[in-house]
Amino acid sequence: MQRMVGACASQGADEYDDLYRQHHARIGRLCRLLLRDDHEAEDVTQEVFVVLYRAYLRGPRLVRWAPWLTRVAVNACHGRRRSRWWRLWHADSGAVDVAGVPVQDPTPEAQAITAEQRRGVLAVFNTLSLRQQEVFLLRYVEGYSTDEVATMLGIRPGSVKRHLFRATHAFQKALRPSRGAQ
Amino acid sequence: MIGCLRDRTLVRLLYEEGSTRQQRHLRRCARCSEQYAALSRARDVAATVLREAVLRPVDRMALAGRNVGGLFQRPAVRVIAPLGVAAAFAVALIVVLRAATMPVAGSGARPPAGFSLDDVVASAFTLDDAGDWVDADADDLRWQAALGGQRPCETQDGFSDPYCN
Repeated sequence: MQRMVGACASQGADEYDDLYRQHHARIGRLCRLLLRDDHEAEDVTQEVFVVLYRAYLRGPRLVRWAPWLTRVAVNACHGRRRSRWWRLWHADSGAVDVAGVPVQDPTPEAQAITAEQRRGVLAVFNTLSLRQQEVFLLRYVEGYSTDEVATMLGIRPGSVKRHLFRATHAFQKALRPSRGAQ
Repeated sequence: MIGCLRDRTLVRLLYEEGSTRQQRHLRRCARCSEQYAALSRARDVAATVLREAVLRPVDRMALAGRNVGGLFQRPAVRVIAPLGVAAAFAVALIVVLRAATMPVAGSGARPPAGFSLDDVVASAFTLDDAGDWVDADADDLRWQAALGGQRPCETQDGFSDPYCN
């Protein structure tokens, strides 16, 4: 019996390790984009995986872990940004200098994007509201459907569309070629 | 073309949610197609940049400095801070001036410069008082002798004083 429990625990640990490997980078990137602070993002990512571990210890569940982890991460980032401490020290973090942002292993699409466009996108992203950032990241960077994003954030699909419209519109304005370039 | 699609509708079409009539219009109208392509391109570029960008680590000291600087940019702080500084300066000025003009405790009862222990003795034991006091205790020759500047030859315990007069 003890051997069976040990085998189950070992299998659970393996699954947890797989989940960690699959999602850690993705969750870390999401947290970094939402918090714009590497240290805080690393902290929150660890918290998310501690929550996952605790959930895992409670036993096997029929859960789609990817959206579940995303939801936990978004909520954790939300909580962190709402804290008094965060507001005191990161009140001005929206103005963090994003010029010269390094790109890791750029894809051909990314290579086609000019440095000016890149700066424009990040500058606009910084000006979006937290909700618009979350919605845009979940819908277009993470690739969830509008309904899934609405469920994750606990808002109506109509609100998701409204935030998406504003974010997309802001990006389009920033990326519109200047008159001099035409 | 008359009846071109609004931006909001174009974004809805971007999510593949528009009506068939709107989609048909999009296919036929060059202006709407161009606008739609621009929106689609902006979305793709933004998603690609955000997917592949790794933000530079935040310089915490610079951030703290900027936040402290930003604190003084707030309208409320900009009004309250000078008032607070002025109030603190006024309080400090009052404290210093009061300390400078306040008399030192006990300075009124300070004896004049030439005042000595002899004067105290003279004022405490006037000659008349001393006489009354000595009369009241006439048996004690030692006191009388002492007041007369003399030393008795026999002490109270029966021994003689070799330096008596």
